[in-house]
Amino acid sequence: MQTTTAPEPSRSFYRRLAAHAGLEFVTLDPTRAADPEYRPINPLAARLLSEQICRYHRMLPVSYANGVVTIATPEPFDQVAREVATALTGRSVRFVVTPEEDVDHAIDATFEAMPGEAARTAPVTEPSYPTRIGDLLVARGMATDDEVRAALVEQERTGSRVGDILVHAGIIREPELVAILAEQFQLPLVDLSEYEPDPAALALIPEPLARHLRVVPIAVDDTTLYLAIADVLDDDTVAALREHTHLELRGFLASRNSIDELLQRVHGGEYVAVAKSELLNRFPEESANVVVSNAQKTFFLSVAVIWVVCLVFWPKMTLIVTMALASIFYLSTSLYKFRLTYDALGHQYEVDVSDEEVAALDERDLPMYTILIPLYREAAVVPRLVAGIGGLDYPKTKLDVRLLCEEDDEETIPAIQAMDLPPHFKIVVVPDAQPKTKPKACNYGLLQADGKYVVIFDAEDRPDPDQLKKIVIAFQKADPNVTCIQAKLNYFNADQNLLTRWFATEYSMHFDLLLPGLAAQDVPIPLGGTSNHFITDRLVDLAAWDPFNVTEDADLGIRLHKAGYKTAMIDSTTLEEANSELNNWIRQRSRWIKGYIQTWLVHMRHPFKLLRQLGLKSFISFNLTIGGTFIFLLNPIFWTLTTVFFFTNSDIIRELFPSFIFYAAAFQLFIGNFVFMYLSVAGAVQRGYFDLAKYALLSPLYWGLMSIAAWKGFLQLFYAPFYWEKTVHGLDNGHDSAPPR
Amino acid sequence: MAVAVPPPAEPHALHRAHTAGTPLDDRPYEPAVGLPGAKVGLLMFVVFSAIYFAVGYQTTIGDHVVVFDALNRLTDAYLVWWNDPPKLAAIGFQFPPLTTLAFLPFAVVKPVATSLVALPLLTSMCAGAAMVWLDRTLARCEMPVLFRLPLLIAFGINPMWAFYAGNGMSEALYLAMLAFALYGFVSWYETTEPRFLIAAGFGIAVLIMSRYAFIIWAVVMALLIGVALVRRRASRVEVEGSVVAFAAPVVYALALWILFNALIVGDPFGWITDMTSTQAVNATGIDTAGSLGFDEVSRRLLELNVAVFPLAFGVVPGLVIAFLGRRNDMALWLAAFIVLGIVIMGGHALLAQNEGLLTLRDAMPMALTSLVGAAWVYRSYDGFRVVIWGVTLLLLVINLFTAWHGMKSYPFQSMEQAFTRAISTGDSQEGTSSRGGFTVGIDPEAQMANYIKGHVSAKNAILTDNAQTFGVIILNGQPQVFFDRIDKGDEKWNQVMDAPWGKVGYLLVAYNPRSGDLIQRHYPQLNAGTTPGFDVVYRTDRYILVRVAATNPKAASASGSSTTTSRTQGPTATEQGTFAPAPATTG
Repeated sequence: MQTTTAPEPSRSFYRRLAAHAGLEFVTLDPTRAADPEYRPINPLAARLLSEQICRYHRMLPVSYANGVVTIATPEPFDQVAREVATALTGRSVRFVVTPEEDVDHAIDATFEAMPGEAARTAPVTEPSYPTRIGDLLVARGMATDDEVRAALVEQERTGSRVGDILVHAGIIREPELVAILAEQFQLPLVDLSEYEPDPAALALIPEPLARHLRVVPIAVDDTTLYLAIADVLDDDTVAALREHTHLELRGFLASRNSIDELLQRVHGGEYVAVAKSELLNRFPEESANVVVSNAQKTFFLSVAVIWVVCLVFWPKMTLIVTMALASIFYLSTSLYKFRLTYDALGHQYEVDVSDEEVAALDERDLPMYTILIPLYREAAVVPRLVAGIGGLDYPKTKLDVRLLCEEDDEETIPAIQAMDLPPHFKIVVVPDAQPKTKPKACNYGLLQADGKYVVIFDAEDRPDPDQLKKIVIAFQKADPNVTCIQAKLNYFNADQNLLTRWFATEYSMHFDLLLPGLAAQDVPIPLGGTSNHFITDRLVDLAAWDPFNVTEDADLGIRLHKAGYKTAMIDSTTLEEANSELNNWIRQRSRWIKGYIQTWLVHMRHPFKLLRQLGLKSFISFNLTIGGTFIFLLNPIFWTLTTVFFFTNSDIIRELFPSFIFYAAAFQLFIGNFVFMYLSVAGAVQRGYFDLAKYALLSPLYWGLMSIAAWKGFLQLFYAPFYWEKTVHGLDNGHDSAPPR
Repeated sequence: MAVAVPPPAEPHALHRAHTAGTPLDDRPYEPAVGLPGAKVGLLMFVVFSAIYFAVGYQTTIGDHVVVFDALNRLTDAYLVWWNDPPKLAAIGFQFPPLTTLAFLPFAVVKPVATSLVALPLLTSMCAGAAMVWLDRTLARCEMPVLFRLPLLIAFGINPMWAFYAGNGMSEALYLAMLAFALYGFVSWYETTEPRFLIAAGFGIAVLIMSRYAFIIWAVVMALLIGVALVRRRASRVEVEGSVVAFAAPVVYALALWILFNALIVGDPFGWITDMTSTQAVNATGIDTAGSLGFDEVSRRLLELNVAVFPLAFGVVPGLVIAFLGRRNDMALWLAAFIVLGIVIMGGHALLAQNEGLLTLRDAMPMALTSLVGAAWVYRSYDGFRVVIWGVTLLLLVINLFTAWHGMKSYPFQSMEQAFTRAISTGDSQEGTSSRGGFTVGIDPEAQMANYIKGHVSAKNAILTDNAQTFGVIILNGQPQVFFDRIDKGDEKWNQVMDAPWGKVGYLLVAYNPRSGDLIQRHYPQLNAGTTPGFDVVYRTDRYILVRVAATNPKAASASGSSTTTSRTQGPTATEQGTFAPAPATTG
């Protein structure tokens, strides 16, 4: 350990020393600013170590970027200094070599000591430890030695900061950590809970930048801009701020959550506007804010008029052609879905992630993961939700769980606040504004998402514990264009009643066979409602979800594909609550079908453009999957005709179905329906849900219910297109998460 | 409070979309031999199909060895598309419908059907597919390709197999489905992946729709699946779900068939008859009279065993030993299928007291199952695989000779003898006789079809029992000319048959009393030309075309003025393109 100053060596000596150590050589002397080796000092980074430590170990933090603190030192082999720097900054450190006199002058300048002989001859005393955060917490009686030791073990495993680990473990509270950090870094502290920032200060930094950097300008004077910050400002942040102000920057530490809340409080109106209108402003043709475009209105009206005229003059031929077209469409849709599901039955199209790969994952490399959970009047399911998130095998310090509540939800918000949740749970109150939809809430929550990846879960969801880790691995293994990975959905209360059993067989086929089949074909995938994991930046680039579309998930899947991105499937399941009550089920299903029709109408505004964007295969697939929803509207018509024909042998009906049309319809009725019913059996059995096999045989009755919901949704499209039929959850009679046997 | 490391994910808490059921074998499935890829399968399909088609085309089209059952199904399919009006009911409700349904894609192209090319085309493709499925099954039994190919070639060039692979009969179709179902069954047993069980169920359901006797196999299979799973201590729901997954298509297919029969024929269970072949118009008859005892049946079965599936002599004991020694359920199942097939055939003949039911072709499922059984024996005895393979190949080679001999000499058959003659001599078999009581050839049909094509074109001009005259109809290619039983149903057709005067211009009749032609039965003297009001205008070896008077001569004579049809003047429709009754002459 160095206690005296060494004779001043030449710069060439330090260059050779740096080369020998394999490190970068820098000069800190401002008079050599033109020198390529000159490194300006980030004053905020320099404060990461105290003056005493800097002088004692003769080193100075000069920059902070990407989580790495760069420290200039004339003694690059001083391991003690390196360990002290690592412990005290709580970050990774990188040494660069600089001449002794440069670092001494820089320390003087940074800490405003008198330059010259006085400073040099001032006694350098051994620093008074403890200054490591764990020691500070123990010294303050806020944590025990054992707790800190355990946190250090976890730090070794996950790479998270000790303070964050202790907060997430509930050992200390976030404000306490911030206070300790402020003490450690000798930064002032600010309580933002009731702070009203100076509008003049706010005006200096644009809102998107403030949101992105997680800083809030709180005050300003002639020389200095005062910022509420959650962490020491790194070089990039400083550089970004410098583009908008040349005032001296002075940071005040505050908790991350309090900064988020302040940003929401100050910029709530702008956030809502972005959440509601980002897609509409940037890609107006992709927004469902208008159900049917003018061109579509003209087209549909023209077709209707022509059809009526034909019906008047050539009634039989018109009806035959109509039936023929309907039968061809029906048959095409069925054959396509059969092909997809049958192919998937014999292959594993999901991104393959083994348990061994999950086990081998280095948690230190795991990125931040944002989980968005929209809630509305669902206070009852919050405890289960918290338990479900708690069960995820992912470092809690790397989770950013955002509970999205509507402002007028006087039930859920107080319930969450009363639970005193750990800091990775963040309550986001979405200001009351129309349309009050789940996608708008998700867009709002996405604005502050910290994660590299983001996923939506519903309140009642129970994802597989290793799902997030699998997704991280899957994104690494998948095609670089894969932007979304859809996990599978199924139900934990499948055995509750006949409806839930049907629902589970339907989901088994949809998520285990149909969607993987689509993924294998590299065609657009209508995403499921939850458990779709995105690369956050790309999602933001796409303007995220359409708040006017009531199946925003399906719509987003199509937009992803149009933008040239891909969606992959993964063999990991999220269990949800199956709708067990018929009216509730019909409401939910009518919304889904309405949304699918909305989605079809939006993307078919310019069919030729869509064809160019998607290519022929994807265009056909889109029309047979999303457009295939229309067969639920056709079903009752065909069923009625068949029934009437069987009982009356009506010649009128017979004439509507000339032989070839009749054969297609008969094939669909007798073979097609059975094949789909059997595929439902296959989906259930494939998943090991043997108990559901016999119920799958009754699927045609379920399809009848679907048609009821389809007509409800279709009609609603005319009088309440954006109305969100809210699904009531918590009707599962406390079923556990055991899948059907 | 210590910071706890998150607990590792509990395996049971995870959910997999691809599951495997309870293992059915003590030995874990770790295949040393991979399944053949799609390209290999396609190549095999193309090669075998092409060879079978060439052989089938030459013997069926070139040498006229046409089996009338096949011709009947093809005609039914043709009428589904081209009858006037087209009727789905043309598929018929007496015979298993699958063969007719399988002909539909070929019959939609008129020349493919009327030239009879559809016959070898369909069955050669089915036989090719069967070879592909057999290859996969053998691979599933861990047999390397160098071992599989000789066995498949020896099996594939068997004259029985080659005959049915090219003659348009239902055998190739249902044997392909049997091969598919067995592949699914073996794969499910090996991998315990439910999708293979589903494939087996689907295959068996289709199989039943081509041969009703397989209902018994389906029941036994469902039973065996349940028993096997119970023996392996699978959960109740797994047993139930597995049986449901297997049996659902079988039950659905049968339910649908019963419903159709009830709605259309009026007899929901009318199809459960012994009707497996057409009462062919080319039949000359065979003596099957006299009481049939167990000894006779046993002797015939032994003959069949030697001729068609001698492999079973080695395979069945091998399978039984494998079951007893290795707790190997699949071995028992395969042995049971072979034995069950023999028992069903013998029992059927005994109950019906009809030795004629013990046909060569009905023994073919046992031949195919024996090959799969041999592969399973091979799979079960690691240390004796080369020996087992060698014995299997030897028996298959021996079978080439026994089959050839059986085809030439066994009494109950469907023109196998004519096929052997065609192959060995290369000559047309037209007009020759074949064992089983048949006259070979289709010249009588072709001659009548050509005559009608040249002389009659009016719609519904010819009343005919299409169940007997299908050969003429398909070769003529103009179903609209014929007023058949499909057009407006049997009731209307019978009314016209009772009083055809003025309603049709002609009757087309298969006059061989064995054929069971309804018009022939109604007017037994037609062939003799002694029935008033009916004149034979054209005759071939099997058919007569009879001109019908415009009015009923009996009614005319009863009213004091007899009316007959001119013997010299045909219906004006013949020349004018529309049918109008010939002008009556007063006698």
